[in-house]
Amino acid sequence: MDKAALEKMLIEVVYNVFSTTFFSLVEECPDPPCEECDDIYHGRIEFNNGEWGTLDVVISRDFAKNVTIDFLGKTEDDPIEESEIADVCGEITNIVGGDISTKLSDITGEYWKLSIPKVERKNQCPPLHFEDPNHITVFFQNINEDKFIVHLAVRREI
Amino acid sequence: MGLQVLVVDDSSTMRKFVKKAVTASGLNVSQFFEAANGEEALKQLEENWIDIIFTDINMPVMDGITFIREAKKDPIYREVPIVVVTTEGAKEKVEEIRSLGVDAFIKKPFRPEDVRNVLLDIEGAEFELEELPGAEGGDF
Amino acid sequence: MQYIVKIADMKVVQGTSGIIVTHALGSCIGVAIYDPKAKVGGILHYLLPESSLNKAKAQANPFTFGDTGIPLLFKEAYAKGANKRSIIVKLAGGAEILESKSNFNIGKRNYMIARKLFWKNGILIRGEDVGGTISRSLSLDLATGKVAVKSPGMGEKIL
Repeated sequence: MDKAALEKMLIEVVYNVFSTTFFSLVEECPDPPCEECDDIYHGRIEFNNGEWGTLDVVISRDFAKNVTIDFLGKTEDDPIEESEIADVCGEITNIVGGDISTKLSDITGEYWKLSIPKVERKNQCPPLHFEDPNHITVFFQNINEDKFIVHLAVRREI
Repeated sequence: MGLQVLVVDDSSTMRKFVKKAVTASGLNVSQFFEAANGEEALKQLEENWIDIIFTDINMPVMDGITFIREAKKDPIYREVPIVVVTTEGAKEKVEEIRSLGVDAFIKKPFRPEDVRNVLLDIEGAEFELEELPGAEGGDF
Repeated sequence: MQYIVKIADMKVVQGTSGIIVTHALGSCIGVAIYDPKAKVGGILHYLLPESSLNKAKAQANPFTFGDTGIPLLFKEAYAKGANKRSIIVKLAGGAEILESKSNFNIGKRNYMIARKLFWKNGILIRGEDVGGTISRSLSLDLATGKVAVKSPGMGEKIL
């Protein structure tokens, strides 16, 4: 599978996950942002203990809060716990990672075991594995131009 | 009389999502019980009467496969319908999960409507879903 | 008796005979609701997702937008005796009429606002025929509660 095909798969998975379960339409950003990320959630999940790859989701806290409101079916006035926002970021990472592991398992015929997602709130963009030869970084946005990053690093032949 | 429903997932918001979808499906629920992993779920089964289980697979401490295996060993718990709600979709893994004797399978990402559809499909359970005892919340 | 719902319009009827119908659903969404106990049915045909797109227009005609039209559809049904617990919701439309590469085309957005609002209100969609590039008609038979979708060359589909 070449990098372009992998990227296409990633974009389709992210669109499908957000529209199906999180009631959000998202698409690839035409111009990748270089904004300050001073309040973000960083979710990471590993394939086969990280040996076969990792998936990172970096999402602004504001966008994550809106996704949490829609996911839980709340209205804007309902109280939202910070722990709920963090948990939703973990679940986004988990479902996107799970869908990718499903697809890669079916392609390679081997089981891409998923770890438990880890989520942290940060005030700067985390280091992503740009040095990996097979890494893909896609910038997404919703209709309000809230942005997030999905980074997939694959560390074996597929 | 309402049903007692156990929702097992390490994500607390996913448990809320499943509970809301079950309620919106029209299942007459008297009480929800929750567990964040298989070990907690087995404890809930010991302590409470449970009519139906919704469980995730990929969880810390004790995963869903081990939980289902343990539950199926017990002659009483064996009869409780189990709906698996998981990101697992790899063919061999799905076959392994189905071979444990689960009643329905929902692949994440899923829509709340999928929960109603599987409740209608569970053989032998015949849940009544025509009324919405829990249709509340929101602004209309 | 046939009740016609125009674009950016709504009809709610209590009774056991007649058909409510709306035509020319392209990227628009038609929402049909029916309470079999109270014999109350209604259809809303909205054009755009959010009233924030044009607040003056939303005030002049709230049925133009999903987020202002859908609550009014339900409130009118309650006023005619319907109960939220027994209302069945079905919808159609949300097609991509003008070719667009964006996921943010109006058809997709119209469909998403409906899903989002119903979820917030604890209501599941019980039948739908959405997306694609076709124009649809949506009808509700008040005698039976049957909801049907028709599109040119595709015949009739019962939701």
